[in-house]
Amino acid sequence: MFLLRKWTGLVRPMQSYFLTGGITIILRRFIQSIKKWGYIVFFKWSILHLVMGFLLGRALILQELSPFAVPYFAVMYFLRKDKIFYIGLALVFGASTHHAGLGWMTFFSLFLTLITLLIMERHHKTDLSYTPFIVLGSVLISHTIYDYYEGTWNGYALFMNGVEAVMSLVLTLIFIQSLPVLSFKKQRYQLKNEEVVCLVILLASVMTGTIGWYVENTSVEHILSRFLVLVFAFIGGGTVGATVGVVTGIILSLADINAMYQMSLLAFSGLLAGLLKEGGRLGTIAGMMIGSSILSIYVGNQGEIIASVRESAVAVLLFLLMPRPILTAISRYIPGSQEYMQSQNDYLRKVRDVTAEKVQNFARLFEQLSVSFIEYAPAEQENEQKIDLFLSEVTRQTCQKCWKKEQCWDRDFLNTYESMAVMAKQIDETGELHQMDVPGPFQKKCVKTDKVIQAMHHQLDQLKHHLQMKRQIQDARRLVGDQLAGVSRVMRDFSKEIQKEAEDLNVQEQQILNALEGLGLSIRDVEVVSLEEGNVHIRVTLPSCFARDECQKIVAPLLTNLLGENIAVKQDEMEDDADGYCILSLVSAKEYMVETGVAGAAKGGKLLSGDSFKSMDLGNGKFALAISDGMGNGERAHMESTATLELLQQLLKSGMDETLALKSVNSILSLRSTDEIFATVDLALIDLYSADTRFIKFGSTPSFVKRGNRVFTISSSNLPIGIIQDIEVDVVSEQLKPGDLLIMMTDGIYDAPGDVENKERWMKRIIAELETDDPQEVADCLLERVIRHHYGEIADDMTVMVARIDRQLPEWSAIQIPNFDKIERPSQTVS
Amino acid sequence: MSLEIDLEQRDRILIVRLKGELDHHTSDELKKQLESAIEEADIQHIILSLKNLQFMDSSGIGVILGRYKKISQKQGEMVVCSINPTIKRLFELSGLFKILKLKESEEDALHMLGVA
Repeated sequence: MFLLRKWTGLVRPMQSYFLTGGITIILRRFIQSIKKWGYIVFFKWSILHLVMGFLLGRALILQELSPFAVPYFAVMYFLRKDKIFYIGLALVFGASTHHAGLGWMTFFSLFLTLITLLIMERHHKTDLSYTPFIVLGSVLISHTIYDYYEGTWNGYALFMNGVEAVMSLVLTLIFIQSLPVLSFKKQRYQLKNEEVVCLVILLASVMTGTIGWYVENTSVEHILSRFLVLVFAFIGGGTVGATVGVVTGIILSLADINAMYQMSLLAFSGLLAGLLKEGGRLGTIAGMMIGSSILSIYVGNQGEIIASVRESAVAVLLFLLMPRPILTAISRYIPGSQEYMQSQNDYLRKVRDVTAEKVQNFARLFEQLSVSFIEYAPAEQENEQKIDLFLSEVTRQTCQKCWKKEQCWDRDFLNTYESMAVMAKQIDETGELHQMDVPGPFQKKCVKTDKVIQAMHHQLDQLKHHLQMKRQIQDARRLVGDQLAGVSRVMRDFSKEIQKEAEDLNVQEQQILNALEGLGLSIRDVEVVSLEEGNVHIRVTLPSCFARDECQKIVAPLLTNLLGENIAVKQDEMEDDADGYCILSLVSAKEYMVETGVAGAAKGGKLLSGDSFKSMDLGNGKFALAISDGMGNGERAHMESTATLELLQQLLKSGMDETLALKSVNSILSLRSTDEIFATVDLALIDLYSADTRFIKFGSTPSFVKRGNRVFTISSSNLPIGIIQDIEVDVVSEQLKPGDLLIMMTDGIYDAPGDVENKERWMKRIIAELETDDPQEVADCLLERVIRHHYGEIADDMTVMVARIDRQLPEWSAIQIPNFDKIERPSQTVS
Repeated sequence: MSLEIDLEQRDRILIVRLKGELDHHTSDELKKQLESAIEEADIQHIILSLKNLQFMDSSGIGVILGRYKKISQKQGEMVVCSINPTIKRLFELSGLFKILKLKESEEDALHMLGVA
């Protein structure tokens, strides 16, 4: 089917070139009729199969064996049962062109095969796996019987029949592999190497059928074999070209023992043609001409040389006439060709795009859900309606059971209603209703004023309770909405990341490859995942260096120079392949590194502290330091603070924005229980590329930064986490510098001086007095200092966390290579 | 030094005067007293008068936040007055001024809440 499509694809561009108006219509009709006729010729009549049948019927090996006909017939029985009669006819006709006896023998074998297949089908055992044996049996039996009938029955004939039967069996196996390809039953079928060989065997077998045909003294089989080698060499390169040459050569020489040297000729010219395929069709042709001429000059006499050149020339002509789309179509099937790689890449890209789109769809879905959660607010009832509802509840408890109901509500409805509405308004506004607030007329009329007032109070309480519940539900709803929005954002970023990987960075890959090879390293592959500044990711495959650290000492420094940014080997992503290759992940080296130290004590010297701390690399170039102080002391406080930090860590690691992450933690903790449990959170996020640090403090004490001899505080004020549901988050940013000490502490430390007038100044002085700048020592010293201040008493849980920011220096300096330019980064198109 | 608690009720406003140190030893007592006052007298607003409060720690903040939660459900407000600089700094750090109002004196606070 696709062959036809390609042909029309060829004609179409011509159309747009020089055809306009009426001519276009005529030509279009013409193309359509070609298409229609092509379809009829190829599929309805299956001309191709008939021609192949004819040639295979004709094909002879060693002048007497014809092992092709029966396998072809048997396999076609499964592929085109509707045309099996004609195919059989073509085979018999092909065989009869040699001599009538062969025709009869073929007919007899085919008949036997057909009978066996039909019997098998009746017993529901039609299966391709039995076919080779059926073929073996029928060839052996039919030929032996034929020989017996002809009287040429002897040991030699019997042996040859055995050989022919075994060959038929093997050929059946090969045809089963290759025939479906030619009958275009499968779309997008990618051939394995052995399948390519099978296909070539089939084509060569078909070619054997042309043996003995000469056109103007040139042998058709030679032309066709050279043509075949040319096509495959052009598509698949040297290896495929040589393979095809060998296979066709051997089958042709089996048919005609004199053509033995054809094998070496075809193989050699196939190899040459394939090697020169980079030069396009002309290169391939040159390879073929050179290959075939050299060998025929070497082997043959003058006449043969001229014949050979003529054959090659005709093959070349055929090859030149072959439309490009057909070549492209064939090459999609051949592994190793560029089109094959292209189609694989296309497929991968498509999968990636589809994945990205799916993730994006999910993101959109979550966003939509979040919007519907947040937006949905039950409409406020109209004031009047509210009062009506309120009054009906009140009267249900009072007037409904009152003997004066008829008098008040039936006869004097308006007045009663108005008075009660006034009372309702009064109680709604002030929250109170006293005897004196009741309107005069009502007081006179009603006999149960006390009860009414009481009922109203009661109802008001209930209403308030109801409202509060409603508000809580609404808050919960908003929380869910915010969460969903956060998830949606994370997914959207993820989908962008997926698509970003699709960027084509071939040029840069080649550049890096050249540079590395220029240094004399043997590189198998360079794969650029990302070139974004500060987020470079390159994978290099090279022979394992057996811990000589070539990667750190050569590859990384070289890339540092090429990219103008520090590159480091990601140690935990080094993979050693089984075949002695090693895959390196090279990433942007972080500009800064953080070293931390922590010291803490629980109240009264106990084991369990109510404080928790975490320091973690978030993996996205950010380093997080967090301290949480649970309310109170002991186990409960410990659980509270640990839970807070765990939750925070998970949210931050999932890529959620820190403000939203903290808001979520707050909402979850405050919804979780109605107890007034809270925890403070002190979070510092250090950007490892810029050392820009964001501080978020929830009810926590100030942090201190020691820069040289100077100490300054960082404070921000947010409510402790877990109490008020809707919090605003204040974030404080500070640019840290290399060598800075960041000191975070819980109030156990901060409040330690107790009655000192200015705790901040006290703490600053203590920190300034410290002589060490090792984070752990600083933490230990501070804790000791504070405990000493209280003469050894530990009044509260205490935790102090110290981080030192340092510039990260690469171990090896960059390698300068004179002839290589800096790599150009693609402009980032992040929408 | 311990904590002296002085409670005074005006209409639905509770004036809380604290003297001494509010820490984890004394915060439970304060919590108990405030809780019963709010429940029994149907208090809506609270004024914290902290002129003589010398020290306060995180448990004190816990008590204040807990009470705030209670009265805010009744649309009540919490006002702090006569606060000394140390405690004020603590309030600032804890973000309490995001929810509490600060007034110079008890009179100002009462005036703000609509009681002269």
